[in-house]
Amino acid sequence: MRKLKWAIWGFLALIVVGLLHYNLPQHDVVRITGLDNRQTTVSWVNKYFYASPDSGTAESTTNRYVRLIYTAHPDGSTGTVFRNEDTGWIWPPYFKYDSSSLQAAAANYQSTDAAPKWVQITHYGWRIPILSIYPNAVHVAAVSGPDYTSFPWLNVIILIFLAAAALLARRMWLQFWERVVDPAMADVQEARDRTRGWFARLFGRKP
Amino acid sequence: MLQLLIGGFIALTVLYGLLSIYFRSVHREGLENRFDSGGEDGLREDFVRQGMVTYDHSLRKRALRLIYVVPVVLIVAIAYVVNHS
Repeated sequence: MRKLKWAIWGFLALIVVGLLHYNLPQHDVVRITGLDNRQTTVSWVNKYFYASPDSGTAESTTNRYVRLIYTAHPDGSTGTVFRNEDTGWIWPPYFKYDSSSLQAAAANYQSTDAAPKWVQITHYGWRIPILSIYPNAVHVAAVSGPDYTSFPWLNVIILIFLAAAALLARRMWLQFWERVVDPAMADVQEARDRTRGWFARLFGRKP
Repeated sequence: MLQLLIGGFIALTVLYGLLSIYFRSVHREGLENRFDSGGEDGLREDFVRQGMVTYDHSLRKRALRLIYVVPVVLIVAIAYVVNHS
């Protein structure tokens, strides 16, 4: 039973970590090698990893053009393929509606191995080839060189905020139990004791 | 967009309700504890009721309405940073 409990908690923790890892912004320093606008079929398997049908760049659920950004890593290996889609207004909450401008910026930074221009691509999401899903690029900016790194301040702030919200929710729950549920239970207990006493008197036994 | 407006309004209203119940409850508990620790005159009930009336008109209670303002500001700020910088 204790093992089952731990398994359930572990499973829930895995889901939370997965959701955070998918949705929080990440930075990659890469060189943009090419751009594409590819006719893509979005199926029931991967539709949750693409923009919802009512957001700017995605006019149809099953068939749509998806802008792609091909990249290379500083060590010369093939980098991630990013997609460049509007996010829509619900989830994930990036409220991105400038994917055409982003594609223009990416085109401007496109460079060759001989004369590389290094950029930092801010993105969320995962590249999973078997599902044909790509991380969504949110921002692209030129950086000083391939060794550029930045500290993820925004993620730290978001995580602190989420932890505080979870703590507040827990305290609200405990307050609810202390002030509402426990007194109600005490009332029920008292009422039951009274009823017992009444029955006992009725049937002539000592309570 | 419409979904965000309607869904967001409903979600924030639920959050507002839950938080206002919580803060009221915490405030009432604080008043009760203050009376029980002694030094206050009159009935416990009257003391707590008077304290809650003051609380209902306080700035702290009204500040909770920021719960409708902050997310809107945040969304506008995120949209600006993502799309216009």
